[in-house]
Amino acid sequence: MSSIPAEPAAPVLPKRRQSVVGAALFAAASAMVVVTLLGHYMTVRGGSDTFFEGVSMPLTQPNVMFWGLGLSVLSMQWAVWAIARDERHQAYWAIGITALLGLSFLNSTWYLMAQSGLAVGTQAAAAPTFAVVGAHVAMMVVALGMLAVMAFRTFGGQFSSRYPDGWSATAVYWHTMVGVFVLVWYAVYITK
Amino acid sequence: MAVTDTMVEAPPEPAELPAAPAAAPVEAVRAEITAVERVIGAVDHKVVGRLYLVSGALFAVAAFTARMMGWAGEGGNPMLGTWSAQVRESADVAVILLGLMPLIVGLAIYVVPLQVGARGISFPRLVSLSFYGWLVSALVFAASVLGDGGLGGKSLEMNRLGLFSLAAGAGFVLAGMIAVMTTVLTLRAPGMTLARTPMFSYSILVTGAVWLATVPAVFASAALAQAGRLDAAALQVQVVDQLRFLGWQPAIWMIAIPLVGLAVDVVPVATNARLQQRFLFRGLIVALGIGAFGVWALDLEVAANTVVWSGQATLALLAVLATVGGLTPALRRSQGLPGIPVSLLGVLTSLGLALLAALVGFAAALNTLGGDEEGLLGLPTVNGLIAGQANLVLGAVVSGLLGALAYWGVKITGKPSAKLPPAFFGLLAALGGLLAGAGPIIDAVASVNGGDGAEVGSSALVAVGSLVMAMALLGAAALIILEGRTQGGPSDPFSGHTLEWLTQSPPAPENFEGPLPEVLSASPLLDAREAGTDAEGIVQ
Repeated sequence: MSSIPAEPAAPVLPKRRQSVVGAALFAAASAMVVVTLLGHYMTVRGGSDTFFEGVSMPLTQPNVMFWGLGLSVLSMQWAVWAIARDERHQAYWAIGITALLGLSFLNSTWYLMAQSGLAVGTQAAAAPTFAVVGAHVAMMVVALGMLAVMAFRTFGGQFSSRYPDGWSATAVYWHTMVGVFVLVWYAVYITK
Repeated sequence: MAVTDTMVEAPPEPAELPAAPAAAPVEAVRAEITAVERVIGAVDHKVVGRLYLVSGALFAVAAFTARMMGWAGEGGNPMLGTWSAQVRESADVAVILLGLMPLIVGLAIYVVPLQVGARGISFPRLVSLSFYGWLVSALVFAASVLGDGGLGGKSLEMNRLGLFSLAAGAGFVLAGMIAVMTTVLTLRAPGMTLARTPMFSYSILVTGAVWLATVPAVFASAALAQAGRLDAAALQVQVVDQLRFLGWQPAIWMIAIPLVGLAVDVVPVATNARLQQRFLFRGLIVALGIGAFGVWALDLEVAANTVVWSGQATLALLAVLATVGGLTPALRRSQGLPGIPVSLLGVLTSLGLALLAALVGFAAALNTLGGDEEGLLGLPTVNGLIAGQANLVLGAVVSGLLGALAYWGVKITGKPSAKLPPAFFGLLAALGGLLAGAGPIIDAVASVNGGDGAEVGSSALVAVGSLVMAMALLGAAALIILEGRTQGGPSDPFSGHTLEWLTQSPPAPENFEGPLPEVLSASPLLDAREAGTDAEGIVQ
């Protein structure tokens, strides 16, 4: 009778939920930066009658960005779902789509700011708007960075139903970033 | 044999596992690591915590000394000339963000994992990064102040460098706090619910939550300055104004929240009493946390005239007052002060100073009821009471931290602290806080109903008080450095109640040897003593 080949002992996994809790706390701190800036933005805007004078801020791009990020919430959660069920093929698709939606968001923001006509020093709206939008873009860059790191680790064979926490942590940060964008979308683009 | 018969085979023999290659003895590997590598590459929370404590104390000494120089002399220290205001503004903020907050984080990094029964800290490499990042940022900030930048300097580049390093330093400190909070939330010992978590650890959790909501304002300020491409003059006005809120009510309370947790942990041990109504004290810690949420009050002139500001001042007073009231029965019941009078002295002094600060803050809130120009107490909205209260809180925090070092010092150095020096330094810090607080309060009293005030004397008292606090911190840092770190100290010299007293002093690399017993109450070691067993449940 052939003997069963011996397998090495399973590696000791980090304690569950650590990364998720850490990411949630980090996300809260990041969100507070944008929310604080948003508070400043609203204060400055409320005290000026000519805040947006000479500024062109159409709603098309912000709305596309809004729906795009809404979709990315689904695709990110799809990635978490797939990893937790060892559906790696689906996970790769979900990661790719999420990354694409994130990059397209950055592209849209860049275009919107470039064609808005905002210029620091000549318009009251410029500095507060750039600060708010820039801080949120920084959140998106961090989220994409986390996504990239997790994607490389997943391609390398890490994360599975035994330990999906890395993806859960990334999802927590991603969803917070999208939640913060909803505030920015409403306060900066819709109610301008 | 019919085809439906099942052939039963003996299960396969497990394969022989090849013998694992002989692991290099840990001692041999350790011997190859130099002392410098051991410190720089350390991810042990105890090593990083100790580094944080010593470096934080030394930076706080520098910041308090700079504060003394900035406040000495009306309208500018003759030694500093026009540099005076810039040094004062920079030191006022740096004392909090780069001095006392790192000290609190350092203490939390060292003590909290031990208190909650964790084998280590969450994200140990992040903790290490937090320390070195803060250290570099603090040094760069100091350099920017020397280069006429910091906060409110005249050099644009140095101003930007100062603001960037301040934001970066605060961010690194916050990262350390996030690691501690995650440890409390995820690495507690079996059976230790959040309700059974030691009060100091619980207060650190609440403190961290308040910091998470407050420190990002520093980043926001830096982002606005960068986005607006402000020149040096605009930076002086805008950024300094935006960051002043850190030193005023309500945000100043964010560094005092751990004092409540510390007192609620130390007093029962010192008086050999079991803490009753723990939920009440948890509520008081949360109440003080709510009272310390101050990121909304960037413009004090506007904020101080709101109901929320007055409400927060009242809440802070109630929280501190109720803490003192709640601990009084235990102190009264005790037969003298049998356990740990040195640390108790520091803790009680700091709590008393915090109560005084809360009363002064409440008086400032009462004053706003009368309107902008002439308040109920005959003072304008922004007056010396607010600055005096902040100085009292600073004194309370320094005194409390020194009390904490006297209490947990044996875990840090392995030696029971000599009784006199820590008590002396704790009292010295309290005296410094009292002097620094008294200055602006005297100025406020002299300004009632349009009086002339006492600005010169007030500034001088703030300067002297800051110097005294610097000396107290310097003494404490010297004590930690000179006492060194020796193995084999008493594990539980005070008959403690919580898990940090279960391990040796200083603790082993993995904190605890062997499995921990299930925690069935908030005072597991006291339970064991009362049951006549040791912590593992073995009858003695």
